[in-house]
Amino acid sequence: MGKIFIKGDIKEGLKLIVDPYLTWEEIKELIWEELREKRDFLRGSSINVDLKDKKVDEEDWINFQQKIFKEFGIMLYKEIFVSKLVDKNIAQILIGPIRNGQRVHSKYSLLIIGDVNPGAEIVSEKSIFVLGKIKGSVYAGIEKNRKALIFGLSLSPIHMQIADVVWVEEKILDSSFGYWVYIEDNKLKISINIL
Amino acid sequence: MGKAFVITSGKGGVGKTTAVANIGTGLAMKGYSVALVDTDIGLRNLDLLLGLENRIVYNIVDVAEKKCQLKQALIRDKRLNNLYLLPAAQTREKDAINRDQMIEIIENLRPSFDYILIDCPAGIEQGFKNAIAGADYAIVITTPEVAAVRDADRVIGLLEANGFRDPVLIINRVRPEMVKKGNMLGIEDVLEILAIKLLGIVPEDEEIIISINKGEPIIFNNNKSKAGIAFSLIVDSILGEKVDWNNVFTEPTLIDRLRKFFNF
Repeated sequence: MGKIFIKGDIKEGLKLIVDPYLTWEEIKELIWEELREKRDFLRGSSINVDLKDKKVDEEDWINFQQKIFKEFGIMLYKEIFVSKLVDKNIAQILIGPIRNGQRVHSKYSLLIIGDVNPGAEIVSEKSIFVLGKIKGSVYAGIEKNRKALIFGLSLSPIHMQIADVVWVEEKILDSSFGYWVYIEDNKLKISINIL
Repeated sequence: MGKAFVITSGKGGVGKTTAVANIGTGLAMKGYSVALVDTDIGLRNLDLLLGLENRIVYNIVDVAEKKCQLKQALIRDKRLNNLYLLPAAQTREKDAINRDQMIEIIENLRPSFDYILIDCPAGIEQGFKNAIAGADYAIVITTPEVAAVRDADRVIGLLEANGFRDPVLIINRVRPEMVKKGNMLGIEDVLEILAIKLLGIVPEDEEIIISINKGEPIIFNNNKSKAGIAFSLIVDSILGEKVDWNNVFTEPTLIDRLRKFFNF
């Protein structure tokens, strides 16, 4: 393995992995050389630079970032950008309708194809996606996972909760786009668009 | 070998027993041999609807406890000699028989009958578990009311958990004029919630009360009453004929009435 290499990953995109034992000046030089060589191929992309735990001066980093962008048209990031939706791409898939009296409990995200009928109870430690109407009780992110989401094509739940935040409104929401439910300012927020 | 159907609903008073009496009679009128099994121990009614109350000697508990032969407990119908009733015990409770005894009784009925209809008690406890134990197919009956539909949903969930693959639905006591005004759940609404196949629709009909009091299933005069027509169509649909429920209960036009009046 060389001191620098580029890795592609479906979840995290392009990743530049650098030997963490080098000094920051050496790393800068290595990245510069690497990107100069492959600039035609990489132009317009954004790349995550994995510096492990190496401390880099913020101002120095921004200068370097801008220099690279001007020269090669490549954007570098220090933070890993991981999909906001699920922590891990594991979801349990259930074919609905989930009926009155049925209880589903999962430590994974749940994808439910069909309605969640009144009286049904869906519990997940992560997110819950319902390709159907939510008419029963849904509890996402129990175990205090406040990043969990709920998605439903129509919302008229008996009970809806993410982590410790409870949905209190009683209006019925019905559209062809579906609704995303997430926590913002300690309240459940509903939006048609996730971003 | 006979096919065993259980008719169930969860909620009480939606028409399980009426449906069993009428569908059973309808199948018998078509020439099939039919056994009706009442599992509503302690609250038996099926005998009343058929007018056979005073003929009961032995009942299903006696058969289960081997106090009598299965043949001795079966009562032949007054009107049709290929329709039989296995009545429930009135002085006992639901736990007087267990699943295995129930399965044994249904298995013993199979060789001599084409159809076995099991009348399930209301609720989802022991009586329900007994009733579904021996059956191959399930018919769920509901009325277009929120409470009945919720209970039907629960029951369908339990049936699916017990290995019934495709329960079918009868929607009873539908009032087309109330549906039209939006005061009652429509057929589509019920089907959307329950998401199972529709077997039939029975409209609200006062004649049903008269027929129950008389002890004669309404299907006997099936071309006079709406409910009678509906039950005979349900029988057709159990026998595999295609019935289009969309056009069954639309009001007849003037021309239809004239045609009926002049009989052409």
